[in-house]
Order: sequence, then structure tokens, then C-alpha cells
Amino acid sequence: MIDNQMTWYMIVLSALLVNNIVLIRFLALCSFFGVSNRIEVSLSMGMAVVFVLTIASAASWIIWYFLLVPLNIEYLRTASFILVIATLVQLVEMYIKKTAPALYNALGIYLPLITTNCAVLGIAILIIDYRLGFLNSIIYSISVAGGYTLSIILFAGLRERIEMAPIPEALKGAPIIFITAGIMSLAFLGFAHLFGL
Amino acid sequence: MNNIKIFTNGLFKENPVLILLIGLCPVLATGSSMNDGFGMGIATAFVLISSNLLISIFRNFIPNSIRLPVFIIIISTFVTIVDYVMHAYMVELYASLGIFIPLIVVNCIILGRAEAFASKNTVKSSLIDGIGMGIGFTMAITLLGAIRELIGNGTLTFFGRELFNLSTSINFQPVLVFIMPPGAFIVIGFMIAGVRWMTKNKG
Amino acid sequence: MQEILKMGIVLTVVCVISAGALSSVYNVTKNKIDENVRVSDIKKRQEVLPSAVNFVEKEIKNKKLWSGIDKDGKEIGVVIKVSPRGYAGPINTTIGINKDDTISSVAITKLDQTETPGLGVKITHDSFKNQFKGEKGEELKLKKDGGAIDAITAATISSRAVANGVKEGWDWYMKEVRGQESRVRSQGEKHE
Repeated sequence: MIDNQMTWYMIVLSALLVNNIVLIRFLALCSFFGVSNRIEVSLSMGMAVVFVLTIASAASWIIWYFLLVPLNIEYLRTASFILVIATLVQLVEMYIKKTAPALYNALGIYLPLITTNCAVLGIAILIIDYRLGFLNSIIYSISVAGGYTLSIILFAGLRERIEMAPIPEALKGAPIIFITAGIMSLAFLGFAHLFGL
Repeated sequence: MNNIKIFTNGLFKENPVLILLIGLCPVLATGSSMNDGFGMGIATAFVLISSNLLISIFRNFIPNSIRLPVFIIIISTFVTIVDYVMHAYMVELYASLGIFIPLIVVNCIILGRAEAFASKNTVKSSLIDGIGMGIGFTMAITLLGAIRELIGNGTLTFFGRELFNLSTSINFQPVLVFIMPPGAFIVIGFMIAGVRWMTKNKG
Repeated sequence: MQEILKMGIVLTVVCVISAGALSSVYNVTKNKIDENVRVSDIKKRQEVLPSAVNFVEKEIKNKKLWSGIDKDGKEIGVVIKVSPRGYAGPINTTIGINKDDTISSVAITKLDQTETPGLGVKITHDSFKNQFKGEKGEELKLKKDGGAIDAITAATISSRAVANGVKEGWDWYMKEVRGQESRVRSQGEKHE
């Protein structure tokens, strides 16, 4: 659990390792399994998620505290957050395409995928549920996305090896990938209790 | 395609979880007991059926260029309704599903069916498609929850009631890791492998 | 131009209908949600001080407490609430304290916590909560920390959070409630 009493490095450690978003919290699994077949691709996806998740959290935080709460329309939370995220992803995509074509070529195809990446909406909701302040929300979002990038890169490394391993017919492809993720999750579970987090 | 085929499609041939491998986040996260898995399945199925229905009814009025935002608004409306109704009338289930209720919005199955099926087909077949896919999803998540709960806790719970308890009746020592996160990945891996093995043997 | 106008109208209509539907669902369910919380609070107070028939709400230093009155009109104990930080979120714990300063009982329902299903969630089981009955002071800690409470297997963080939460609540009670009472009494004695 994260709250405002925690120091910033505790938030970072918790989000990065102890409560790793993919392996412990089960968010963003689609893209985790979808694009983790090569290390470079995973790195690009990770960067795109860091970028979008941070901006989306900041925008959601502002909308919640300056629009939904003052107007007493908290029940529009899910609807307004997902619309903001979808719009934001479009804007970011258009902006990068114009200003940084090289970056666009690297991230381009992953950006639209991020709209349905449940990590983005999930974290936007969590920072509200945890009642985090603005700065802590930003720190938390960056660390969560960092945790995503870390696990997806490590996992891509494992997958490149698995491709060459002799595996029973029925387990080839998706099944062995899930089981590998399970073992990796077991390893990350070892971080539980670290500093009492 | 006839209606029966559309219906069974979601159950077996294109089971969203076990064959298409989409919408996995809530499956793995909330399928730690049979009871929670079933609850999550029904909540998702409700949203899926309602949004399929509404989108197919109004599919000719929605301009093509803004169809995605409209779909998202429709889906998030149903999700919020489920969220509040569960919070008011199914408090225990609501507490254990937590953040994964609002996250039904970004479940790829729902937007996927809206885009691939409901926006192109008649009301009747969209309804059947929604029911088939919804049951297929519920079956998979309930089965996963049941397996994990049985091995990891020695019990099976359904509708909030404990059906039996192996650890007290036959002194079974539960394998805790199965209800922890790694168990979810491992069990779903073997479930998918099992489905593949069966379909291959059938020919 | 006509296309844009059509898009605008459709989007507006969809948004208005959606907002209208949500606001009416919200209004209907909100009362029920508040009612659930109220009923469950009363039930938990009754559970931790079973022989009390009436509860009087008080406030000391911005913290609410309830003194339990039995059928003869005598105060038999107090109920306080704490929310220690668990593994996944706050654990809202209701504590009943007898007149002799021992813990009467502790109440945590499934809705008061967000701990891991199957593991940390066992803090809501009676076998864990009943350990607190009759204990006080340093006994309100895990055995690992020198107290009398057995932690739940593989859920030390959740167990420790509850134990420390109860201890913290008990310390507050000793300082603010009992401390004040004895001060008032000793002042009264001086006057005589």
C-alpha cells in the first residue's frame, strides 16, 4: 500500500519491486505478453508506457481534484478518466509524429495500444483511492511504469531463450510463457516484506 | 452464421480467455476463489451483453469516425452502473473485486466485441454473441478460481458459501502459492495447454 | 460541415444520456451504500461489547469513541476505531475495551480491509480476532514481537498491522480516556 506518509524512495521501491504492477498486481498483461518477444521492442514499449502513464495520471489527478470533486460528480470518474486517457494518447501520438519522427517510429505502433492498457486507468484510479498528493502521484506513476519496463525487459530476455528450448508440444507458445511468468512472479514475491512494505 | 454457431463460438472455438487470450488481467487477478471468479465473470458478462445490445441497436446512427469514443462512453456507463449496484447490494463481492470492477472498461473483450461484432451485426445476433462470449469468459474465470482455491486453500466457495473444506475433512495441507500471484500464471498456463491438448487429440 | 455537426450532436446526446443515467443510479444506490455502512458500524459496536444495550458517542481530540451502557445504565466499556496500514490498504478495526482495561473483542469484517484473498484476509476470521480477548498492554503484539498474538501463516504483515493497530488504539485509550479520568478524579479528591 502507498500513502502520503511514505518517503519518496519507499514509494519507488514499492512500485518497482514489491508490488510490481505486472507480476504481482496483474495489470497490463495484454501488452506484457503481446510485445515481450524481443528486448528492443520491449524497451520501446516500456518507454511509451512511462510517458503516457505519467501524463495520464497527472491529468486524471487534476480532473478529479479540480473538476469532479468540486462539482460533486464523482460518479463520472471511470467515464471521464478513460476519455481523457484516450484523447491524451491521440494528442501525444500527433505531437510526437510532428516534432520527433524518430521517436514516433520507435513508439508509434504501441501508442494506440496503451489506451486499452489497464495499467494506465488502473493507476489513475489508484492514486485517487490512495489519496496521494500531486507530487507523490507523479513519483508513483513513474515508478510503476518503471516496474513495468523492468519486468517486460527481463521477461523478453527469458523468452528469447525459451524459443530455442525443447518443450512438450502442448506447452509450446502461450502456456510455457505463462508458466515462465509464474516462476518470475514467484521470484518477485521474494521482495515482499522488504523494508516492511 | 446461424445463432447456435454464434453462441457456441464464444464458449469453445473462440473462448476469449483460453483460446484468444484476451482480457486476462481480471481473470488472473480476481480468479483466486471460485466465488470471486464467478462474480467477476457475471459482472463482465453483464457489461458485455448490455453494450453489445445497445451498440447494435444504434449502430446506424453512430458516425464512423467517432464510433470509438461513443463505444467507450457506453461501456463506461454500464461499468459505473455495475460498480454502484454491486457496492450497494453485493457488498462482500464488491470488496473482494475492488479496483477490477472499474477496470472492466479497458477489458479488451468488451471493446473488441463492440468493434468486431456488434457494430456490424443485427441486434439479435449481437445479443447472442454477447451471451456466448460472456458465458465463455465466466466459465474460464470460475474454473481458474476453483482450481486455485482448491489447491491453494483446500476449499470451494460459491455464492458466498463454503461448499467443502479439505483441510478440515481429510487434513489436506493447502499449497499457499496457488492463491498467491504466481499460482495464477501457472494454473492458466496449464489450463491453456490442457485445452490445446484436447483440441489436438480430437483432430 | 454537416458531418462535423452530426458528430457533435451524436457525442453530446450520448454524453448527456450517459451522465443522466449515472446520476440517477448514483442517487438511488448512494443511500443504500451509506445505510450499509451505518448498519455495519452499529453491528460491529454490538459485537465488540455484547452486553451493552446503548452506545453514547463522544469525541476526544478529534477522535470518536463510543461508551457502551448496559441495561442498568452503567458504563461497561468503550469502543474505539483504528485504521492501521496493512499489506494492501488500511484495515478498519473496531476495538472494544472493558472497564478493567482488557480488550473485550476486536471486529474486522471483509469490507474493512483489502488484504490478499485467501491469505491476509484471514485477519477477519474469528480464530485470529479472538486471540485479543482479555489481553492488554504488551500482550497486544505478535509473538514474534514479544506479545501474545499468533500471526497468520504467510500473512505476517497483515497480522502485525492489526496487532499494532490494536495496541496503538489501546495506548491512546489509556492516555486520553483513562489518563483524563484519573486526573479528574485526583483533582476532585484534592478539593475535598
